[in-house]
Amino acid sequence: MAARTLRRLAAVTVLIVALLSLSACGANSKKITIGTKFDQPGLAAKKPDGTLAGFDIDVATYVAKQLGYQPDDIEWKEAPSGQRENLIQNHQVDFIVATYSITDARKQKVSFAGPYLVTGQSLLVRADNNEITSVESLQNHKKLCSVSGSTPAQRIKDKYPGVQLQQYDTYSACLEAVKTGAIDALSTDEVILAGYAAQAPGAFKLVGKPFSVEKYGIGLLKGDKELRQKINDAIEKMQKTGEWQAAFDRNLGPAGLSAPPPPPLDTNINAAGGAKRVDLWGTYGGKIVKAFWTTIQLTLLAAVGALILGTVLAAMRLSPVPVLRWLGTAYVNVVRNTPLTLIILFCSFGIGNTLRITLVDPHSPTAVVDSNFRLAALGLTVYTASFVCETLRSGVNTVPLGQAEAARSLGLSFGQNLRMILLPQAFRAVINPLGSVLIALVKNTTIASAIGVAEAALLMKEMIENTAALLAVGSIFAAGFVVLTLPLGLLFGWLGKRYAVVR
Amino acid sequence: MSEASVLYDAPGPRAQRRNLLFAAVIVAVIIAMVGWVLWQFESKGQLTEAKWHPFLTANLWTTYVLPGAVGTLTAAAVSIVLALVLGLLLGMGRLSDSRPVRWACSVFVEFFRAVPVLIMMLFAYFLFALYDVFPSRQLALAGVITGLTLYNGAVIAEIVRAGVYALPRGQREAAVALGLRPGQTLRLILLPQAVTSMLPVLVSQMVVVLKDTAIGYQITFVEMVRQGTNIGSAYSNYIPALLVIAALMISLNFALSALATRLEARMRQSRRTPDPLPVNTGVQEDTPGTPAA
Repeated sequence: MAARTLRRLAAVTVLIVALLSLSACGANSKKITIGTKFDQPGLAAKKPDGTLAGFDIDVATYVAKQLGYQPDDIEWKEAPSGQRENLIQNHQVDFIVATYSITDARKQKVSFAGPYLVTGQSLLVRADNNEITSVESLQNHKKLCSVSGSTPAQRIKDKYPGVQLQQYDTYSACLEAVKTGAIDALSTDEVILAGYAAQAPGAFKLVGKPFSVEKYGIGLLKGDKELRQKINDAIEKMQKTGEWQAAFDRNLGPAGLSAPPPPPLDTNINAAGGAKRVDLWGTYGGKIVKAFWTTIQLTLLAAVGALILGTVLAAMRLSPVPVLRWLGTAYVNVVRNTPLTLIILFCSFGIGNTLRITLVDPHSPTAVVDSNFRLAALGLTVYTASFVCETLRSGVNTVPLGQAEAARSLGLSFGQNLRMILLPQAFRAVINPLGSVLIALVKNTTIASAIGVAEAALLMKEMIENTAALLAVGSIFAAGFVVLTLPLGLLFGWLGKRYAVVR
Repeated sequence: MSEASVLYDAPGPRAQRRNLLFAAVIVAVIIAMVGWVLWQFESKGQLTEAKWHPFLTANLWTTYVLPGAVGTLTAAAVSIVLALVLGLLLGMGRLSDSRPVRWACSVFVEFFRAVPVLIMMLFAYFLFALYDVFPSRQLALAGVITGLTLYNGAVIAEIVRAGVYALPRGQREAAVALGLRPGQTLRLILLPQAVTSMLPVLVSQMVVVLKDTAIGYQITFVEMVRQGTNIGSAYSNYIPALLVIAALMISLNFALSALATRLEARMRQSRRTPDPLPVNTGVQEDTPGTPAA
């Protein structure tokens, strides 16, 4: 029977793999594939009905038309920031219009037409905020949000150390935090900010002058001079006919941004300077140690919390009071079935930003970092406690019935029975499984990177994006976790044997 | 100690009155807390009609929730199937008579149980992007599946091993007495029984996989939680969107957990199937570096 099951499993697997690879193909020669963002309001975003809209979309549609393609011939493809060069190099798109800044590093891999828009990093605040007028006024420990690992976030870290940086992994998360007032400002390219401001008229405003220069270009295959020339002609025509101005006003005007003069085309097709090589250990050694130290601290804090909460929950689930049993069961069932990512996001957005329980003094100069850390520890505690509770309960089940009966016949109350007879034996029986829970906790701390806690996984992301050494970076972090968890497993295995209850 | 009543006497009149009092106090405290949270949400404008009304429109479900659900379920289904295949192979490898095979499988299993799924996903995702292994549309899906398959494959390998060890010794001895080779013994006698007894544990492992697809959130995989945040940005109702997504995920996982428990109970009663491995709901996985029980 197993052989047949196995054969069926194999068949299903092959089928799924085949389907996956099939659905990827299917290019049509009459169509043109354009890469763009799907989540950048004002520039290129999916509307609730599934169609795309924004300035980038208008530019791309115009260019495509000049190349001889009607809007119906365009196949849009999502081009997230980290994948744009790959998409072009692998011929998966004909060109990319996706808030794509022209940089020398990128020119090593692709060619750019344009620029079709010049912008710069700027600030977005709530409409009623009059304290922040420029990036300098943020320097006294104001709270600023940006996307983790992005160029704007890196620039803030490097140039404005007095700013408290909150990193989330999407701009919409940042925007939500600014809206509730938990964070003072959001920073990225001005036009992107304008897109968000236009989405909720009257709620936000742009402040200060842009403090960097970003030239958005249209990315295409390196060395395709013919296409580049055609696209450049199309952009020029769009600017001359006033179509460019109209598209800008239509998409970004509602935010109060007036159209800048159309930029002159970039004539320098080649990159200046060679590719940079980064000395991994020299640049990041200290940071890696610090990140893993954060991982360890997070683990310890959550472990202590989860052990206490988990024991209380186990006692509740065993108690003679029905409502306590019911409460304990409900807690375990809900928490155990919720993805940890959701719990951590709730801790940050629900508890921290909305209920304003930040667990720190809001005026402290390190409020953002501390608050994220403590909220993440809270989330991990809440999650892990449900597993501690279940482990302990299974430990209580290993204690022979006679023990509890003997205790009761001696006249011990339920509390005494639990405290003096059951739990001490249960704990000794589940040392090994509790070790597993602890190890799972070590690994789960990586999920705290979703709310910008500077632990190992967040640094790994940053390093992958800033260095070209994927294999080395991956090995360093994998090795780090093996070093953390393997000894723990051995230690708990030994402890479990050493303290096992001999029966 | 399966009966809770062993720990205390059946409640008499006084205990019943005390229990009622407890219940009243606790319910009051819960109502007060929920009320406070609702009041806070209300004062922060999270409960307005504009934030909740979008959930009654079809667009929200077809554009956001459905693709998210499809992503979550696809990733979970493909991962669990692949993990099962990988887990069976690795489990058989660890039970093999050849020392190098055993050793290699052990290193593989221990390594992938020790590394966080997120680290594996990030690595796989960027590796696939760098070498153009998958088309960009499937890139995040491939990253998620790789991470989940490697990790859960390693966990299932341990479950397989535990399942084989849990069988009565007589099975292996009888097979040897009949002259079956070690491979035949494993394939024809031990694994079929072990796989059946593993079923409930596998279903509860499915819950772990479903929950862990949410980790793909961080590599832009279109699953439920990411779609939740996308709803939040499209309709500017971040908190309500996360609440709705949480409710959906919890119901789905709860149903699966309940299925695992029922399967276990049914198999324990039936005499035709071997005794199931206990669904050890408290333990998320085995400890790396220590042999399975």
